[in-house]
Amino acid sequence: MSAIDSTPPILVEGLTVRYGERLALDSVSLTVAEGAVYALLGRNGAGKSSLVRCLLGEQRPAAGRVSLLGLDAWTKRASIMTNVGVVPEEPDMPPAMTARQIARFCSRLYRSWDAAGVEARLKRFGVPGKVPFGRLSKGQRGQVALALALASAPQLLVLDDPTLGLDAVARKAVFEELIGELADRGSTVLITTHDLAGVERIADRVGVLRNGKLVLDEEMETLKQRFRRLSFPSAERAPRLEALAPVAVAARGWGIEAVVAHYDEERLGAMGPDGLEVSALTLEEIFIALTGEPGEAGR
Amino acid sequence: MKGFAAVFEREIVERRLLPLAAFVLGLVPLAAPLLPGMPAAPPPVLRSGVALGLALIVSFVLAVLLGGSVIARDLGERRLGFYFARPLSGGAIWAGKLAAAAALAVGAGVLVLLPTSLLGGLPDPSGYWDTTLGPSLSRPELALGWLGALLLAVAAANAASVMLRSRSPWLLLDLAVLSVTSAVAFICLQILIRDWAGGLLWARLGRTAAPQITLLQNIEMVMGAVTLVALLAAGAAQVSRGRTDLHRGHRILSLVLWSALLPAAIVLAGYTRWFESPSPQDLVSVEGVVAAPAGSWIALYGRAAHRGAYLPGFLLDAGSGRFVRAGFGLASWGFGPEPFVRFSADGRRAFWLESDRGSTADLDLWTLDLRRPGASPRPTQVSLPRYLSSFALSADGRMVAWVKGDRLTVTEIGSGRLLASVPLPDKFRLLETLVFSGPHSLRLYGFDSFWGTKISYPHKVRLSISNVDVATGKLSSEEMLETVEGHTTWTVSPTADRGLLRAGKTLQLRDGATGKLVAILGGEGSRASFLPDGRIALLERSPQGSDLRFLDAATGAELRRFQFPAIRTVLVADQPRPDLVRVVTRGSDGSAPWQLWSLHLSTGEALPGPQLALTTLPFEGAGPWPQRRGRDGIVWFNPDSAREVVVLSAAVPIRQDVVK
Repeated sequence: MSAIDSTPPILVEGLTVRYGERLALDSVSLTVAEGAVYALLGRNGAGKSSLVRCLLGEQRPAAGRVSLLGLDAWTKRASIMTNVGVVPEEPDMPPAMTARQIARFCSRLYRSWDAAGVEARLKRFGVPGKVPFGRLSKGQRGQVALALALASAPQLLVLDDPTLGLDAVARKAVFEELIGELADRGSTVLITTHDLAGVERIADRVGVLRNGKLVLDEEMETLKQRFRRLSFPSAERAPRLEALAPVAVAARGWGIEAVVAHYDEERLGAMGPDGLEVSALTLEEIFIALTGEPGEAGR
Repeated sequence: MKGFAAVFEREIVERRLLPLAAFVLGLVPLAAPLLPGMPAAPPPVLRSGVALGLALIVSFVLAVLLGGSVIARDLGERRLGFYFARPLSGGAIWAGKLAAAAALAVGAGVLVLLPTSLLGGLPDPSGYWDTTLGPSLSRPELALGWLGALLLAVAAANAASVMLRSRSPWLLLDLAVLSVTSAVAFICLQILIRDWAGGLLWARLGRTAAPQITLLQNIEMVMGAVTLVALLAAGAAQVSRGRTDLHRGHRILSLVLWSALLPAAIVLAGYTRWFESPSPQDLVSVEGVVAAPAGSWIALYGRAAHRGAYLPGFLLDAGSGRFVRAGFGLASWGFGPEPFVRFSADGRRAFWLESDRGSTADLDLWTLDLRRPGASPRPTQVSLPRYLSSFALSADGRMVAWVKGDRLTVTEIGSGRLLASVPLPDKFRLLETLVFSGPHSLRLYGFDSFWGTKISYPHKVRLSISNVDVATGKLSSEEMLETVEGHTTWTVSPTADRGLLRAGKTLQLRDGATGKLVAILGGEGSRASFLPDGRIALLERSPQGSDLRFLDAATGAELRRFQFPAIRTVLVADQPRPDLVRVVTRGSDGSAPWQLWSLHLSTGEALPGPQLALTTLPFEGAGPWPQRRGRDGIVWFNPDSAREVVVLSAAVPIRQDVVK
């Protein structure tokens, strides 16, 4: 299969998903460029899993379309999957089969299969090869899923919360594996995760879903550049905050703290607040500012 | 194909212990002869029987369990996404899993049979097969049928499992439509079975000569195949379109399944309706005919086109073509050329025996008022046992009598009250005729010879006659032994006071009560019948033509003679008045038109009437309902009396025939 050159590996246009009366995704559009790592963030129930299911051709949207590697994700799913590696949120391999048996089954379905790579990864992760999948720990199951997803050298990786339930060591191992894969092959990656610190290291672009709408879709660097935390020693000494259009404001014991989505150093300097401290935000802090409080994030 | 094979193999490997368990279970039949409580039978038979039974049970149970889990459990436990995240089509996932389940079920059955087979040969399932499919199917056909049944079980279990696991409101719709389609199929099958679609008439299966199946078996196989295809298509659509969404899969499965099975049920209902609604024109053979003693009604039954062994009966007005369907065909079949239909002496009411719906024991007596257009058949209070020797209706249509085995029973039709139950002597085992000889008396005639069979050598014929008084139940018997050569028939006058015995080469007039010879009426070529008033019409043929003589039944003396030069066929039609007899004639050319004649017995005048168009029924059911239907009546051959019978339409005017 060959993607049309001009078509991005992931193209989502006006995607709408309904469950009865409930709107799970509301006209979501996004694009992931070739070789990019796209972090799709959102609180539980925001619509991430619905979007991933549509991406993988498991769910037919009520409206809109999803194109993976230049092909329609619903009608050409089986063909697309030759070049897509998937790590599901809940690893769903047959519980009675061992990791090796599952790998052998999968190896028959792909044109290329790196059996040695699977063995090596399982060894690195410390996953026993002869224990049935159903008796592995949650972290090990995720690691098996990742090892299998990478074995076919996919053009596109879709990782649905691959670190869910993993301890810190396992999470680190997963991201290191991903970093290695990206360094080696430059695959396109879409990842949904709650491990924002981990994904911050590898993501090129970030999308945030809230209540089924994509409220943010931006390059990681740009995002981190425009979000700042402003700390004022006291409310009296703070300028008129409304003028800064903060996405979050909190009263602390020592003063006022605000997060602005469009940090403008010159403008703030002109307002001349005394004792102002400006600091950068982590992705997690930006995410909390965007989704933890009422109010819209400015883009 | 690669995907299908991978999924198939994966399912088999995951359940690889099942075949081993089946093989171990297959050792149980070897010990069957040693187990307590087993029936007395030779050990090889016992082992084969137990092995076969166990194999059927194991494979069926596995088919249900695996069919209910291979897809639905993965869906319910959210594991089907594993397959959809691979380059596998929905069809490959469905087919691989389904085929694996079926193969495991079949393989387990085979493995259960294996130890017994190795020890004493493969048991022959056809010996144990005793369903509507019958024992006529060969071993490979039974194996094919069992494979289909297992596949059906797998697909049905999958559908049921998906429906139950989804727990959506669609389940109510499923149950409702399932109830409707099942009820329709059940009722239709009951009707078809009642109508004997499963009997007698065979249709070939494939090109081989040996395996033959009935129409009902064909219908059952089509129903099974349609259900199987619907279930397979629904399952495939559920996986391909519903994918990992259980509720969506359930909706798609239900839509595909019921949109196939509901129309199929409607088609089956329509087919059944068509099946049980033939007209006389649909008859491909006429098995039996009887005419009313007066009027233009006849009763006939036969086999209808494309309806298996269904034997529809019709009460048919020979003139107007009006007919009413009646279910006397099946009850009458095998009991001679006249169906179990009797008419009252005035020809205004018909009574017949019909198979009781839902019962294989009794025959119900039904009746129809022939004078009322639009009247419907209705059951009476009377039920008769099956396998009757004969039954008779009193002239006024108020009593019915029948002989079953060695007992004569008389019942009042209106009330269903038993009037008499009389044990008969052994000599009436072969009953020929049962007649009401008076308002309260019956006469029974029996032959204990090769009656009805044409044999050329001299042989003894015993004619037994008994008179029964209905009021007292008293029975008196007479017996007559004759040596005859050739075909023997016995025809009784309407009141049973005289009888015509065709005994070898002579036609004899006998006393109806005693059987004593009254007169020799004719030789080998002569044919005779009783007129409604009891007189005798005797036809004698010669190369020059035919002589029709009318004789006094008391003495056999000739009353009048009519000559028909150059005419071979002369049939007495009816007797509208005591002195007027109508006959139809036809020359030697079978395609010549029929000619109506009015014969005045008092004056000896023979007046030709119009030419008639008559419907000629096939000889002894050897052909279909004639394409060329005559509007003026029906003519057929009655092998019992060895003569042709004609019934004229009421539209053929009686007066017209005397006007030249």
